[in-house]
Amino acid sequence: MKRTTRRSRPQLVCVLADNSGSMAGPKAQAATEGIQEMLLECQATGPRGADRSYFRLVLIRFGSKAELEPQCNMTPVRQIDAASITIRGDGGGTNITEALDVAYRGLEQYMREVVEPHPERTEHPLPLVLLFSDGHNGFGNPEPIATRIKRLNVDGDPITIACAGVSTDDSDRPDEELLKRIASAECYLDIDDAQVLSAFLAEAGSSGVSSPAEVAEVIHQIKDRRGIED
Amino acid sequence: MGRFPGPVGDEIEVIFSACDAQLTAGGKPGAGSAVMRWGEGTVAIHTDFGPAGQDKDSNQDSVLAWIAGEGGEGGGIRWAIAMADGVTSSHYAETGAEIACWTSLAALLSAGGTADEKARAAVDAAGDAIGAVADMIGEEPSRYKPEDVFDSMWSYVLRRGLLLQTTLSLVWLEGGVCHIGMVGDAGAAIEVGPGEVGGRKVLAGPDLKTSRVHAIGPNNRRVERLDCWQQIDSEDVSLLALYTDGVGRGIGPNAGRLFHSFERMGSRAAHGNPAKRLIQDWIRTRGQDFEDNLSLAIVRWDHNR
Repeated sequence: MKRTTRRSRPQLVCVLADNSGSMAGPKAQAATEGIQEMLLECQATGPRGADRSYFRLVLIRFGSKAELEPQCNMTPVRQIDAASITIRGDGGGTNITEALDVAYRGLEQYMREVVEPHPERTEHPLPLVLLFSDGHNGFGNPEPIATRIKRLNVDGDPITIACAGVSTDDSDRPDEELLKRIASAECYLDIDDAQVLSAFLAEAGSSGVSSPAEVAEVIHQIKDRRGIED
Repeated sequence: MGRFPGPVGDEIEVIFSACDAQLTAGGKPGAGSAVMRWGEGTVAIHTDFGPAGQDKDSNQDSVLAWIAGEGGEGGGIRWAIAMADGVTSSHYAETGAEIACWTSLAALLSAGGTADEKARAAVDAAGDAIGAVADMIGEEPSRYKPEDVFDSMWSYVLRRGLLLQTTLSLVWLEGGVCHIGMVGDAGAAIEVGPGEVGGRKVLAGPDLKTSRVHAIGPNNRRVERLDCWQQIDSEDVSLLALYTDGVGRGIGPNAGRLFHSFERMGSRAAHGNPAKRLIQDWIRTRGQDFEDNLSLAIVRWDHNR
């Protein structure tokens, strides 16, 4: 049975946002716009009413440390003012490991306490993790914790991680190979245009899809529309 | 109406008054739930919120029927039905649906030309009216912002035209031909000849696989093409059903089930409102299958049954 969002089973979208110093400027601006657009798209989905959110949002900004945004802690999207969300690029280094660790602790509890016992668990959408970064991880090895997130599942259906590596010139490349390994299969997008980062966040985050194959298809469509080669 | 304060409310009143004058000049309109007799049979319409406990909190569908009066002006049209399904996530969608029904039928009756030109005029009139109301809302956005929506979201709604959006289906009988035009998805089916020996045919089926919908709205005022356009010789038609996707989801792809339900009503169908009876039966006995707003129109030709 297909997993779809409804009022009774909203999808949890978990955004891990690179807030390191190198993101400052157009990349941070594009990330802000993308997260805001994603929130607005998610708010626009489903019947009207503040208590009818079809999505919940977790926002974790990471620089040298990972910080959970208090107003976006599994919060129904219609309770979040999109205009209040910003990425500034003022967080120092790039600690992907800690960001994934913070996410894992929340997701493990969410899967155990919300999705698994849910009366509509076969149709309940699984959390979608979106991670974007323009740098090289400088703190430990994030792959084991990413693997643990991807192993979280309900009835064999796993959580999907989609990653975007962001660069604006060739001298400033992200660690694409690491991000590809963190991502679920075919769920990596190489971004060299800040506007594509906005599209990645907005379109993938509001797509309502759960499985790696479905998320990969959304990313494929973004690439197609933007003329990005695989 | 009176749902809006200020200039938008006044504009909506003007729209409805003008349409009502147009429709009553040549015949008789019936809105929401009605049974109306025409020369060769009956037109029955009904719209309902649907089963309790569904995600929506209001009925965003609208249905309007019109029957020509004796010697009335209808350009040869005997009867006409407009059915609109307001887009679930769209703000003020129920108002958009109602505007679409009234303005399209009024335009249909006053338009000249071929059947497809009439359909075009009707759909354009709905788009123009919805666009005009949306423009007025946009002139005073804070006045019309729902209380539970952030300013950022309301700006997004206005920018993207996510208000007053609706599908629109039109069916009318003219010159012995049933004309069926749709913007967006809905269902339509006919039964030819008596139920036991005649055939049943689905003319259009709602899209039950995705939540995407083609709709008239502030950013889609002039629809490029109809999603369904059919013309059926009515000579042997005994029943015609028009329904929203909520009904379509419940009855499934085999519209014959709808006619079967109609037949099971037996003589009850001849009394009262069969569209209302069917919808109420579905809500009572199969509510889980029909979790949506539900609208149905049934046209019966007595001589072919």
